[in-house]
Amino acid sequence: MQNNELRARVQEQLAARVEACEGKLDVRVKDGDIVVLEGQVPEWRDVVDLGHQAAKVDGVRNVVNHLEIPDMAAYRKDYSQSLEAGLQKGVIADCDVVIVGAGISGCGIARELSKYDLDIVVVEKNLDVAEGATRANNGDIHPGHKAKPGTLKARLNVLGNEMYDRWAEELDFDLKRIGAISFAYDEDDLPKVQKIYDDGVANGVPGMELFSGEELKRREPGVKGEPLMAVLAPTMGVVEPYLVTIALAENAAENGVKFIFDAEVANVLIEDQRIAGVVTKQGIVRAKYLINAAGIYADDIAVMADDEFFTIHGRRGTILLLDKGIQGVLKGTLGSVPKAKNPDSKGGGAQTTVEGNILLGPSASEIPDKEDLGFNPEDLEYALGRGMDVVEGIQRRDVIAIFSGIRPADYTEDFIIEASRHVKGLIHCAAIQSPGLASAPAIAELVENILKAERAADGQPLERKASFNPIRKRKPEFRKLSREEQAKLIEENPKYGQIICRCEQITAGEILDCMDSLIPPRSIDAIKRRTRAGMGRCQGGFCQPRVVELLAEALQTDWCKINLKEAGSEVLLKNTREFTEEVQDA
Amino acid sequence: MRERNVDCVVIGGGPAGMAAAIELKKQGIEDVLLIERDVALGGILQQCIHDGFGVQRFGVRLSGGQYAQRFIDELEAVGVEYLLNTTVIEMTANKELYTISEADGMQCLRCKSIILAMGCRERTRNQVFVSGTRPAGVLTAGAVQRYINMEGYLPGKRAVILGSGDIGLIMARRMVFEDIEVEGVYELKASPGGLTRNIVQCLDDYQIPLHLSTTVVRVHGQRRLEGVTVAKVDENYRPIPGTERYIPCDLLVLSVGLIPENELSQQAEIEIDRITQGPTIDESYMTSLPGVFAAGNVCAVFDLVDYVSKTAEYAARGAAAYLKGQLDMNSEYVPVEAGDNVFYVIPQRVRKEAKNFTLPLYMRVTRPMEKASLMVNRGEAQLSKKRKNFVAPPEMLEVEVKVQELGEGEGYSVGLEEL
Amino acid sequence: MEKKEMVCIVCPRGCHIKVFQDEEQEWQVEDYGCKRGIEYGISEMTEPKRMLTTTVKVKGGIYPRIPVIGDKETSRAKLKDCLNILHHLELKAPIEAGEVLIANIGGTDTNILAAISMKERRTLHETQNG
Repeated sequence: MQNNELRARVQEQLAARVEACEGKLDVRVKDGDIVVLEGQVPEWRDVVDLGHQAAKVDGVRNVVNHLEIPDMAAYRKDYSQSLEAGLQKGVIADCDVVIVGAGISGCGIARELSKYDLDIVVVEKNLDVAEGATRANNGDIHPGHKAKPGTLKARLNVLGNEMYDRWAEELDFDLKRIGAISFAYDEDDLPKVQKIYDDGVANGVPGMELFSGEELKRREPGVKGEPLMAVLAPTMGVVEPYLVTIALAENAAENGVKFIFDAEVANVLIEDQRIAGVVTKQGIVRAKYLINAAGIYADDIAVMADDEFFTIHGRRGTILLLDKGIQGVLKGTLGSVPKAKNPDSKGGGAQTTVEGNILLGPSASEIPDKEDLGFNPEDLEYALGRGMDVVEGIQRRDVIAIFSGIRPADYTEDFIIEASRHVKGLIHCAAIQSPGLASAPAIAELVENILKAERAADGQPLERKASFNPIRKRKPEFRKLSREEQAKLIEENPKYGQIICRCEQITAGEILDCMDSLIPPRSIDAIKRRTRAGMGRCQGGFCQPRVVELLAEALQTDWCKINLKEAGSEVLLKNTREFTEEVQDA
Repeated sequence: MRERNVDCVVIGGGPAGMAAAIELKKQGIEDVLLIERDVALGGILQQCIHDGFGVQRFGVRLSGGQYAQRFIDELEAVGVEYLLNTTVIEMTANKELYTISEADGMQCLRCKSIILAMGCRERTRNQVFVSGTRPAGVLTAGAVQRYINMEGYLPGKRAVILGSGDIGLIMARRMVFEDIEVEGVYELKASPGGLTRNIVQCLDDYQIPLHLSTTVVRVHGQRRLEGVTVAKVDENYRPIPGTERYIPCDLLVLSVGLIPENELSQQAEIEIDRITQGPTIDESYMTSLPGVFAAGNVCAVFDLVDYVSKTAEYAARGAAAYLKGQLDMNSEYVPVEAGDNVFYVIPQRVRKEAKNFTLPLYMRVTRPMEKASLMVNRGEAQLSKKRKNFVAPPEMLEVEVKVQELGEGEGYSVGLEEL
Repeated sequence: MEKKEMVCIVCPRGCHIKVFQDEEQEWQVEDYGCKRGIEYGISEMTEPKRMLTTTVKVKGGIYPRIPVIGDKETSRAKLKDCLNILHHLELKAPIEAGEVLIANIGGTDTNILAAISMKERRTLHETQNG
């Protein structure tokens, strides 16, 4: 009865939009508050709009969006090969907790739980941690002033931001508090500046400040034109997100967590209505609790566990990295508020990174293919505009790198962090889009508390282990040392006297060091993320062959087996003349 | 940390650095130290195994290695001290260089003079804004050259080349020899970026099509490159809708230009020319930092290595004069202006009081001309007028002007007039 | 006979030359900038030649391959055969620049020379001591 009322309400409120796109929509309601959308619409934009509209209807907890566009089948992931491979390999691990996904959430949770007496396994489909949404974002530790008041996001964001100092200290990564400024050029947009301030205060963001355009010019002399009013959230921080994740994973591994890579989850095992494990490409991992931190595929994991109550849609953000040569034109984070006149404006801005580069963007495009990282000219122009329109001294030719990330969003646009209503031992940590990085410490703590409650209910309260060591030290970073320290380091290990990456001044010592880890790099990009080799202006043009050489030596393999990123992304195919021999043999 | 005083340090052991170091010795400068980061001298010539080098200088067509070897032999013969595997990590405005190496650790070199000979680097895909994914199989022509020629590996089986720069053309032929199929070369501009002889002997010889006013608009493939979309462009280089064509390939080779490497120069706050992207230099090839000179591709990207060596000798003579106190360090400068059909010219300025000297000018033109006369003036007075055939943007023009008298006008200017 | 237009590539000047056979079937070249243009034009019409360059495997050197070059130009049609011969060659460092590595390769009358000197690879320790 209740279901029917909600169904009617959703149908009524979506009717106009369905008609406008000449689509066909069926609405179902399950569990009293979960709306399932089915049918056909012409474009992806229609799918996303209808999902969002349904989520806004009173009484809807979340939306399962099965609406299809004509070529939808091509975007569905096929798990059959991983399933077959995993079943063939049989049981490879038996543990208390399996965490699916080694992004910032999964690794944060793993590290948090590693202080308890638990057997924990993290399964990750890629060859490295931080390969999904974690890798490609601005690295912002958002203050929490832009999250909608009252949401889970707003609460965890503000809390997570505050907790970052401790993470940075224990895990030894760089965190810079650079402050975030939003401002307006037009009278029309002043209410937006005010709203950011009001939301910040409502969310409990410390130190929010409103000031005039002249004051902004004093603080950020590089700002273009005549800004009218600005709002500052001083707790905005920046980190290198993959370095945070690597630090978390290394510390978790140090404390006994096992990581299995190239282990896509193909099925979830349920016995007596509770979690029994997962089938991964590498084999079966038996477990009593499952934490679903699978990023853009968290909805597929929910389906596998027969607990589908949300759908993840991918939102691609494209970001531009500028040459260090122009650092100085900008001190912190600067973004003009989305213009009232331009409904397609999507945020993003210009900001400095931990290393002193400037980042522009991100753009935001809704995409049907969750793995479509290919950016469009419009994405580039948008991101460029977010910098060039507001900061003096940025030119197109300053761009040295362009990359995209896909943010996993549900249709309520809030985080989903909760124990399953139906399956015992299943905890979802899904739809962790921005500000997921900033919220990560609070997310880990929330999941810890949920598991604690579950275990207590199961009669097995969690026990801390005495051996837990929260401290992880980073390896030497040559470029950051004083000349004297550098000289001493080379004396101790001559490999630090050999520069491999000219642009970022990364030494052979650092590359060899980063391979000596509990979470070792297995691709050129994995080395790049750990050391910055190849991250500079030549983008690996000079150093890639040297990195391939060192990696091949460390992995004791042929150069032709070295991947740029995930498996199947080899840089080199054959030795010279081998094609010719093929031609001759044929 | 070791410390050492040196009269002149040459940064870089490629064609520019070697020529400079040899010339310094010939000019009677004994305390010369050349620093090279690679395991051997030669710079990028090491991977240029093709021939065509040295025609101007030696009158024969040498391969890149052979050209380099002649300088290595001479350098050894005149006794230039050099360090291999050694990188300059910092240059200060006080002419201190910090170097590191496995063998010697860190050194601080206090230099009376420095010659910059760091060469250039390639522009990447990101600097030409190619959209799409970022799979393996997208490499610059120089990286492909390194992999194939020096390491002996093949990075793809079916290649598309974006940009008709010389390295890309050379690699087209090299890849054909390795039975890599070269589908075509795509050039954004309406005229080729590389030298005519390379178009003839690298593309025409092997029936590789060159598509002008066409560019790669999208890269496809998540892991390895699967294909690219090319499209024709209008006169403003914007892709023309409806002209897109998908080409399956597993290697995209980028030959989209070179940029002088001037990170060290920038550290020392040396003035950089916005157009050449190299230091602003005077007729002695001295940069804005007294005692620091620039040679070869650091100044501006050259088409011929012969010119690179020559500019290095000018820079070395400048440095020698400086060390001997023969260089007027108090003179004001007058500019050398790029006139009709000159995109840029180096040196960019000349000592106002200078007379009785040779002014070696190098320039690139904006548009091709069949027959032209190249004129160098000081104020209204014509210093030189030379006939040039077939001038085109890819080819650097060289002219040496003997300046005897103190001219009347303020600045110099260089321009071309179509005949 | 029609005049064949081509770009002379002997030097960077790139003269646009015209090559044709006169009534006596003798080859004639027009618009050349220097005598080498005549030779080039005629050889392009009779037996086009190119310089053979590649790299060859080398053991114990500072690099795994050494660039090599012909002592004269080789018939373009035979280049690939020669490359295949060179592919199977494996040398040992040290090698002196100009050393003849293969004489009369593939019966083409071209000798293959080392383009550069290849020193032996030494360890850091050896380098420091000498």
